[in-house]
Amino acid sequence: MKKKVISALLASTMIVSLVACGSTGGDSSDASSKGSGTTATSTAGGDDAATAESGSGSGDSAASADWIESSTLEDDAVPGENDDRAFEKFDHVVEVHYGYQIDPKDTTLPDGDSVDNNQYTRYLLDNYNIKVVCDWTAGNTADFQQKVSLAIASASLPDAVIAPTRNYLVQAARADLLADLWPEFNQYASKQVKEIIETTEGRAINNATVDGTFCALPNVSVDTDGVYLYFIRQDWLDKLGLEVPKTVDELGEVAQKFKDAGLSPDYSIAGIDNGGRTYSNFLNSSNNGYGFDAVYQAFNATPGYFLKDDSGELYWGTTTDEMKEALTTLHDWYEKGLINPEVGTTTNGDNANNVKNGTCGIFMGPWWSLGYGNPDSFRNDNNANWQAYPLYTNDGEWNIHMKDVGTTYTMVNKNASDDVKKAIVIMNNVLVRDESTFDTSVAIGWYPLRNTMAATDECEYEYDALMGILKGESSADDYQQGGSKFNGLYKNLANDAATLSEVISSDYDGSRDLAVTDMDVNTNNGQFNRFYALLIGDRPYATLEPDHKIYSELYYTIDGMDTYWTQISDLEDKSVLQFITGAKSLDEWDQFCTDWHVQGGDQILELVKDYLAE
Amino acid sequence: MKKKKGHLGLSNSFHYTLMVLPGYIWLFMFSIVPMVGIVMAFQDYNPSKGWFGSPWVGMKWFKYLTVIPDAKRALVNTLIIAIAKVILNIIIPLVFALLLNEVKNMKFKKTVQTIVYLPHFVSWVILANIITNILGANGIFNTVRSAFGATDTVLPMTIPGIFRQLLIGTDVWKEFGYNAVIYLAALTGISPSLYEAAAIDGASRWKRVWHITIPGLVPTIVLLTTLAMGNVLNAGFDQVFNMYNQLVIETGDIIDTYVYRVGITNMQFSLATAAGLFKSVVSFVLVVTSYVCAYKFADYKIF
Repeated sequence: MKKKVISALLASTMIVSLVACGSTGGDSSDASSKGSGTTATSTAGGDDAATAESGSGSGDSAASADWIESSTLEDDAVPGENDDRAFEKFDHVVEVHYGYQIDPKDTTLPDGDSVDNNQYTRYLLDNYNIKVVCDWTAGNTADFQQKVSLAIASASLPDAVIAPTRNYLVQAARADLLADLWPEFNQYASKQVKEIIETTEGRAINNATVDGTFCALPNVSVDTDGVYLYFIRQDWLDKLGLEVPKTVDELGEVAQKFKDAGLSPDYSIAGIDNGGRTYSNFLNSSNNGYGFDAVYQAFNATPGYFLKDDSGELYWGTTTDEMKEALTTLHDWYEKGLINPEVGTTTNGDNANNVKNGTCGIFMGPWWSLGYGNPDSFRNDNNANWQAYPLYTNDGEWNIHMKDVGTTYTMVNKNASDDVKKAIVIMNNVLVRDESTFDTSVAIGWYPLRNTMAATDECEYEYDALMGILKGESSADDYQQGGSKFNGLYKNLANDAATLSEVISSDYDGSRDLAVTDMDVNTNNGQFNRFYALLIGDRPYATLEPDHKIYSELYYTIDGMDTYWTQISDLEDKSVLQFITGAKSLDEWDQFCTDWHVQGGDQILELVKDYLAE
Repeated sequence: MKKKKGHLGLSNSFHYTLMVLPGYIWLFMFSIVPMVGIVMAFQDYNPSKGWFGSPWVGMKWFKYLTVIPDAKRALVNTLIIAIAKVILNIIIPLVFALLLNEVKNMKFKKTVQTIVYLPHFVSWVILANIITNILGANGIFNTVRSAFGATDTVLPMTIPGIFRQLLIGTDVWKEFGYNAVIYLAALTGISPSLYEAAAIDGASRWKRVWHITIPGLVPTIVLLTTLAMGNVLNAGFDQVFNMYNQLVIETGDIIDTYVYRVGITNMQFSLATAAGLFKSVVSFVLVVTSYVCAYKFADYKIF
């Protein structure tokens, strides 16, 4: 008996210690920082709403025929004014059931609160009589996608759930699971929301329309989410007396010097985690943190996009000579130990470890990768002067690849009552209008069914406004409610202008590029991250004009394409990574291109060609 | 012999049947009912139309499976990994059990036995993370190598050539202690009088193992082998899913992970069902074959 007890104890201790090991190994705040990164995109804008109206008025979506234009609506951007339409409080409690992705590592939710009982859900219940009930949650993107896909397959969608990509929306719509949201959306969307939709010139509505039915709330995010830059430790450059690299070759040389000087003992350039892609493709055209997109762009390569050549012939962006050149360079860097040797195999955000702990000085991504994306870098080293720069081609051109209007869609079950549909539209209105007034020390990701909406130029507009304040050309008061430059659409701007002085030193006058030494990391860390992303991360796109803006001819899969796409995307993701690490020699490049075409690529190009011709 | 009846006219063994009932219900719910879903493999499945409304496409998906290289690759990997696991999971625990059986110090024997069977209870989610960390750039493996003067970093998890061996090795390491327990139990069932008689007749220790222990274990070996054949195409989804990555997908991808990627990630429900059904048919053939072989060659009946 005694022996049995000892054995049992031994067993349980071992298991407990193994569990502990597992969680330490996988611990990372990366997921949460990525989550907050996208927060930044959820701001509204639209000073060019007037020009956009004509665009959406003539939108080619059948559903948009009777679109009620924003210009005909009462101004409801200020709480309490004209609230009776888009912000009406229900006279009875309306329950909205939903499934949601949460961040299991989030620490901002107070004890006792939960996914469907927190400050945001209580706000909705108190002010609008909307009671949200969360039917199920998933802790990461892959699990969430799996649950949505199973909910579609088993025809058991809750009242509302967010489609991770348009493919899920199309699947659900074709399965006849979704409600026609057009009457409610057209009637109850707030003026702000309508203005944002109008800035997309009909694209957002078209994307949310499947077979003639508008069946989801589209997400509209800032253009700069798809603009890839490289980030570098400016303080290291200064220490070694180096110029800021402009081209890929120069970047490679600097990376080598960082390594030789012992600043980056392990590797100089951080890469992606297991399951990631080194570039964003047409289905996920934005927010690819830690990818090598900037390098591909500098070789005039646009992998993962459907492109047209000069003669108008459709081709695939990955199987090109430019791509081969880019991969040759990346492989060369890998061989020299400049790129993380574990690229594509690290898990749980470990790919970002060296950026956080200050032993890696170069990585790539969109604007929010700095600040929102790597808050630990600055907490660990208050003088880590990360700066963002574009990577030019050898001809000195800056190519950027343009993203789709938005990626996610809020789908509504066809069995949902009219009240529920209306409630979902109102929840979106409330988020767009009131996000800046929320206390976001509780992560905004806890807002139920958070659907980000922002005018495409939102970040650049804020950059100009905030730099104006720093240069003394305007004052923070100008942007407050009632101020001369107040614009209800840029709803975060009032708060940002008011808190600017908490983060940025009064000595800074805007005459040179902002640096981390001009900023206070600790006092208001949330706003520090935001300003770092806006004023440093987005500086290149806000101040420089790209030479080429490259769009994909298509941003979603079409009928008949999925089966082939499953096969060739597998082939492509695997091969590209293998070319970089050298697991596959670049001599096999031509073979890869042939395989790609034979195993389904040709059929896909044919399908897309026909689709575009229609 | 006449069956005794209880006062309700029910057989006395009725309560035993009742005890098995939850098992039957479980089997019915999770193994019989989902069989209906097999029709998806012959349809172009659409969730809203369901199993009865989706259009029939015959063998379309099976034909497609035969032409795509990924499916072939997955089948080959599955066979190699699963067969190696089946064989090694019989031999290694057997050898280990025989060796351990010779140990006379009971305290030592029990301790070893407890320690080696512990990994069986650790989930692959956790174990895969531990293995990834051990073999990572900054893990124990490379730290020890550099302590011995190696200047390069070797990442076994990214080398397609050894990934299968890695999968097989870690799986055997995880399970051999647990399987050895079954053999140890069978060993205690062999009558000590046989050993005593053999010793008196002058049989050496080796002869005793060969002529008494091994024949005594044959039924257990046959039973475990036959049961293992049912899993011959289960190369271990949990393990592979948690350990593989894009770089080793050529040698690491098995049918189950393929079905997961196609069905769940890309929502190709019909294609995934076809792949799963194909796997089940092959497994069925193998189980029946092994059952027949067990009866023919070892005169052993399971059912």
